[in-house]
Amino acid sequence: MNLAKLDRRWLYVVMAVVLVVPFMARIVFPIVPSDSARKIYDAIEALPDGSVILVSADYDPGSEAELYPMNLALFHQLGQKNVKMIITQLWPQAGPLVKDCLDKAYLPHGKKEGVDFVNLGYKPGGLILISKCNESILKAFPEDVNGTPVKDIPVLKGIESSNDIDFFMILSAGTPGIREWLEQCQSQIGKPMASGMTAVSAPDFFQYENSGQLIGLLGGLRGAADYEALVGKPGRGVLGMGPQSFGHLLIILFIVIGNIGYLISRQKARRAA
Amino acid sequence: MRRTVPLVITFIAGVAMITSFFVYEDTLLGQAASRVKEWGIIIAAFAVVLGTGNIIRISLHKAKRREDRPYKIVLLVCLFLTMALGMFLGIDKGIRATMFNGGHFEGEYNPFYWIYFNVQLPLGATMFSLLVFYITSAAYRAFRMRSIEAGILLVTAVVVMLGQVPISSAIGADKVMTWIMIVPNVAAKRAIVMGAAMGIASMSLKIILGIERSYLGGDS
Repeated sequence: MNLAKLDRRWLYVVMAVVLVVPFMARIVFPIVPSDSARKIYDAIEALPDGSVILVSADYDPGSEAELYPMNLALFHQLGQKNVKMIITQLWPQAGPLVKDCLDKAYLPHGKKEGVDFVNLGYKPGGLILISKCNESILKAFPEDVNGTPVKDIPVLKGIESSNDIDFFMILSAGTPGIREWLEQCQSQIGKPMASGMTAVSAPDFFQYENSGQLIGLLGGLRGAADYEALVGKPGRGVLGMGPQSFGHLLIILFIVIGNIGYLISRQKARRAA
Repeated sequence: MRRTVPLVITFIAGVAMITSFFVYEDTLLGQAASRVKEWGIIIAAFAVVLGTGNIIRISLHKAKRREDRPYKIVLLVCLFLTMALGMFLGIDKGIRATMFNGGHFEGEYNPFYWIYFNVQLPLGATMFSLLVFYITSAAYRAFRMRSIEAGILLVTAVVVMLGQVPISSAIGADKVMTWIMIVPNVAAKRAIVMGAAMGIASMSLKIILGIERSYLGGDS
């Protein structure tokens, strides 16, 4: 059999089997959380009672597999803390996912809308909106997601702008997202910020963790699994580590086999020449 | 006139935004910049409407020319159906019932959310998931050790992939991956970001001063 000319459909079938079987068998590996994930967890745990945290859910169904489990784990942690939460969305399609996370992970801890948290919903504008929040959240978001004027919402009493927020957690799938928050908010007001993002975009943001602008970052499903393990609520992130482990190992195996085939065909070509 | 007015608006908006970084909010310039930001948010909201109008116009045009007609019809039907359901039946109730009742259409069932969770969510996840098959094919067919540089890239990729799974902590791959990410990766990324920042600053100045006018369209 010529390894170099193997039909790609066989690769697809093998990959599908390798992903589906561990998922169906619910194979779970022990998770050792990364230092980065631990830093975020510890920073949120260290927030004193009455602190204000802003969670911006800047993602959509396409990145739901990676960011929704992070969102869920984060809300579980925040639900157990006595902090005020402000939720924003820079992506229009994040709304229902955020509502679902609130229902599943935050509200069961006895939290009340308007008293413990406010969902300001989606607003277009991206970086201009973030910049406006530095001056006045009330002007950037005059109403919450239910149409209630923000000046009438108890949880926002005493909060004028981003300067009054103690911690920013940005769940970001692209633009607008964490880059805009870093440029327009963190670099302007210097408040602690952390982020969860898709695995594919994580390498672009290690420099901000390195510079101290980000407390830490959660990259992809692995980041979600780390955070679930820290919060003590294993979910889709931890469950996803089984298929992801086997999938990555299979890709490495394919790279090795592909290169063996390449070397054999190159040797044959040299001999023929 | 058609050129001058947009150029003047661009100049004023650009200068106001730059100035806002250097002056206090309660000054005249600070307040002007603040007002421009509010306009920006409003304009962005209009852009959503403009984008929707544009996709309807392009899709209708292509459907008339029989170019990808079935896809364009599906797109337009879904667009209008979802908009109509959201606008006339509301989006403020029924999310839990819609998700967890498993198709029982009573209580706070909401068709808008049904479409979101049962059509858009799986389709979005499917599109993203398809990447794994492209990566598999690329890993097998294209990731070849043709040179020393390609070999280094290949070894790096293998270590980073191993670092993304729980087994990595048992074999120490997570430590190596972290080093790759925070040392060579950060060094390269910083260089790219600094270069791009210089380019953006120079391009922004050219736009504000009216030297670069291609955003106005036409052949100016």
